[in-house]
Amino acid sequence: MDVWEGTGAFAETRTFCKLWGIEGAVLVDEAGELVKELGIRGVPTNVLVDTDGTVTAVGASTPRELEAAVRELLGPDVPLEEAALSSDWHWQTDAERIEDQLSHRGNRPPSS
Amino acid sequence: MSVPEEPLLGARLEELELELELDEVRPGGLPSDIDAGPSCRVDLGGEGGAYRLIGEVEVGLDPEGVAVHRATGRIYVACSRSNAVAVVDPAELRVVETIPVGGEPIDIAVDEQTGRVFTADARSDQVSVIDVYAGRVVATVPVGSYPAGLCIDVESRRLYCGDAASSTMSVIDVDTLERTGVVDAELGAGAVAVDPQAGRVYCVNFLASSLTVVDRTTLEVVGRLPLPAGPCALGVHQESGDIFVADSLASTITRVDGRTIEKVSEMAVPNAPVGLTVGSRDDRLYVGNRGDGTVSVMGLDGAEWSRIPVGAAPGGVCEDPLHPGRVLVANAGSGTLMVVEDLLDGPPPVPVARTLHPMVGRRMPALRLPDLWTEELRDLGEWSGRKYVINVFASW
Repeated sequence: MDVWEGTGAFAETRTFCKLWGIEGAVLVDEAGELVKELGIRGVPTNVLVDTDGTVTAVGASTPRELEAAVRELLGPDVPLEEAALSSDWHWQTDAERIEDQLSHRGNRPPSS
Repeated sequence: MSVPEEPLLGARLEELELELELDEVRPGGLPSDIDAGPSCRVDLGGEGGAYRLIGEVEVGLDPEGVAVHRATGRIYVACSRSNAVAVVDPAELRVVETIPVGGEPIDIAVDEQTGRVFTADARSDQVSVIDVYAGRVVATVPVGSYPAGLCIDVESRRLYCGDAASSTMSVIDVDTLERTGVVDAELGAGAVAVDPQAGRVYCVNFLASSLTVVDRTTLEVVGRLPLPAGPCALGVHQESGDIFVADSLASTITRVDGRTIEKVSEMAVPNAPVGLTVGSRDDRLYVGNRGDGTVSVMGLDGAEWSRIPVGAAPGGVCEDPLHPGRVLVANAGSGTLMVVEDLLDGPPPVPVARTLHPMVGRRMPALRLPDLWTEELRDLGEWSGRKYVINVFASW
């Protein structure tokens, strides 16, 4: 969920998602409605929700914290995927691609 | 190397008592004293004791860098999504001037000697030069790709600029406004700091997660140190020469021995530190926690003395040189500048208290939000009956 873009929320967020390879459902909270209701004051923040809609954790932003929170949410009998279990976590996976896209800025919205 | 162990969130859930009482909750909302967090909150007992909130002023979109021009006392804030610098009168706490600069100004620096303010305009690959008395841009200096960090070296009459996408650090003559050198750094080169006593310039590389050490005289790279993920701010402790780095994605502050360029310690902070300055008293750090909406006042040993609630997603922090202890905070999410005062003379007798975020144990609110790709409204109830994680992020 994207928040607090300030301007050009959809264009900026699409660019960002393409740049970092973010897939899956992305909602845009342009006015910050949901984060206000949740009492969230910063990014990045993860909100974990159980089947009945109960929030089980808020925060959990580092890989270690997130893994622990997800483990607790899923319970001991549900295995995590290998990727999620990795402690050797790096957030940038393709430095050359990122450098190229930032340098040429072809995927970035105009500055004005 | 000493690395303090921070308990996992799961452990916190077991160890900490949820202090929130249901009768504290306002109908349809959250308790009135929520002030920190995503993962925890701080008792507001700190207000008036450990710190004082002086004021907050709207400055523009996504403010990042903040600096003070001593001669006028005015505060300059780089508003990255407004492509402008807001000039704030500190006495009245209002914007008195808005100066257009290049695309996406991120960092900002002041040269008192010439009365110039510099911005790193990330999307224009340039540094804008503002004459504070003329109130406008008087020159631009081309630099590398995606400039993101600035630092003035007063004695050398240089401005250093971290060029994130070109993996370099530009060197600009502050008087002639010419780019006189380019130093190889690494991907994500951004924040820069100078230690005149050690004769070194330090540049952190956000994407490469490293520190580049440069000889201040020869401008040759003399060292490199791997860092935890996402280093994006740093400061030099004057007395020891040690370097403190905010590792935004690891949620740590790394202390580096300035003589040996070896890690001394990694210190945990609340969430996503992106701003850092060494306090003028040289005994504490001010850390802007983007993921927490707070500024941590930390001892050099990593103890958190106080946690000051500020606006949403704070970025740059700066201590006002005219008012020691007064901290200026650029809140990227709120679009505001906040002024707070650190009232502590030293470490407090009681450490910062942590509790669970008040939303834990409550039901997700119902809301419909547009899908990024289709722009059609989607109901959060779409995911009911399943276990899921919402990652809240911003593109800046």
